[in-house]
Amino acid sequence: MAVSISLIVNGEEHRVEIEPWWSLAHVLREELQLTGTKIMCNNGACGSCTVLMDGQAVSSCVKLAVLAEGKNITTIEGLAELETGELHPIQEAFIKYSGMQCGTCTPGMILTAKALLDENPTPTEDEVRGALAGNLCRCGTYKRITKCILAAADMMKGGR
Amino acid sequence: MEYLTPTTTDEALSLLNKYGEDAVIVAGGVFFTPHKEELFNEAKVLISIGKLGLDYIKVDEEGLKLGATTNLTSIMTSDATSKGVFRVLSEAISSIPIKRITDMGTVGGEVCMSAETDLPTALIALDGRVVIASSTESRILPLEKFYLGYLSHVLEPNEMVTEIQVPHFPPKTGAAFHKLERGTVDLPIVNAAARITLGPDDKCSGVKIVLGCVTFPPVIADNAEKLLMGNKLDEKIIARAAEAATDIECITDIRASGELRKRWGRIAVEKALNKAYEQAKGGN
Repeated sequence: MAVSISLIVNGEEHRVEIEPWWSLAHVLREELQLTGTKIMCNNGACGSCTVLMDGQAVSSCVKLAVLAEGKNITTIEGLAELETGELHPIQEAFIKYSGMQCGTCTPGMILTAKALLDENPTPTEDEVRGALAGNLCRCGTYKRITKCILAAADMMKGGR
Repeated sequence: MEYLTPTTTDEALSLLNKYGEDAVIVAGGVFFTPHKEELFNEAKVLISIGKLGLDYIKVDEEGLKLGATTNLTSIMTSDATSKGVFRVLSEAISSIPIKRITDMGTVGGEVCMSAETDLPTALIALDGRVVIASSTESRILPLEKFYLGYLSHVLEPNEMVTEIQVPHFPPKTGAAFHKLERGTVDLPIVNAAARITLGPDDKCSGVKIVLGCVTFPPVIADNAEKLLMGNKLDEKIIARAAEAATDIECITDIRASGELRKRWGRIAVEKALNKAYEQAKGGN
């Protein structure tokens, strides 16, 4: 029997009819068509499905959607300014310093970086690498990704 | 499938009593996607236990008490596990470097779902106990008697784990954990936890050696413990104990062969024992 839950995604409330065992990633992609969230390993290990739940990074492929009810969820689609379309500094830095090759890990990398910078606005390179420990990049772009996150931290110092 | 969210332990237990084998309990949910088929195929009800108030870390005269739904990050960063023997729990959790997973995972979930991870090995080394409740009674069981095999334990369909307890240990007790793995995102190939107490004459007066992931459930290396008990310790006798601890048949799976597990198990036990001994000498 499906259950009806309310999810707050990128500031908008959605009522969805779901099966209790569906993952949050599945619901975001298949029910809300927010396909920026990627499903790769499907067991919480690779970080591609990372979204923010009340500001905290979670692996949405292993998070049961029913457990996300009433929480504020941010996906990659919700990071830029909704009104103006202005990109978030982390997104800008990823474009400026080519923080991706194939792009599959990028949404998860950016949201993991967002959670890190919200908690620690001036991380060291080691702290950035530590925060990315659970995010895999199959293209091996880690050095550039680290550079992008440090650059974004610098950009955000100006209050952005 | 129905989804239920009780707000008290009594309510959750009466639901378990009603639905029994038709119910699946969820707290953090880390293990659900990978084990979806085993867990959900037959289930009719999903019961979330996240709102029962079982999220606590307490230290009293009996020892450390962890509510079943306490998440791993909270345990790792708690004052209670920052020093002394309980620090081994923080060590074991910090060997999982993915914060997303330690934020989601709960101690009750680690104990019930995953004897193949790190915390159960460390908890058994500290003589951890599991508080099991049903709507009619509650019982306390040593964690080492909790497991029956892979993803299998002694819980009856109407029971659930509500608390994990760890006793206090005498002064001059040290405890340590060591893990060997393929990579940070995978389950361990092997892990080991050791606890050593030194008596007034500096001889070993208490010891526990646990080896995880070599078989299911974790193994207590009693033959290695016997080698150390009552003796003065040094690197040589610890090396002999590590050899004895791995005189067992180890499983072969996609992560490693039984042969590799045996070799790495010896290394993990030796490192854990040496670290535990250093801590015990330091008075901890």
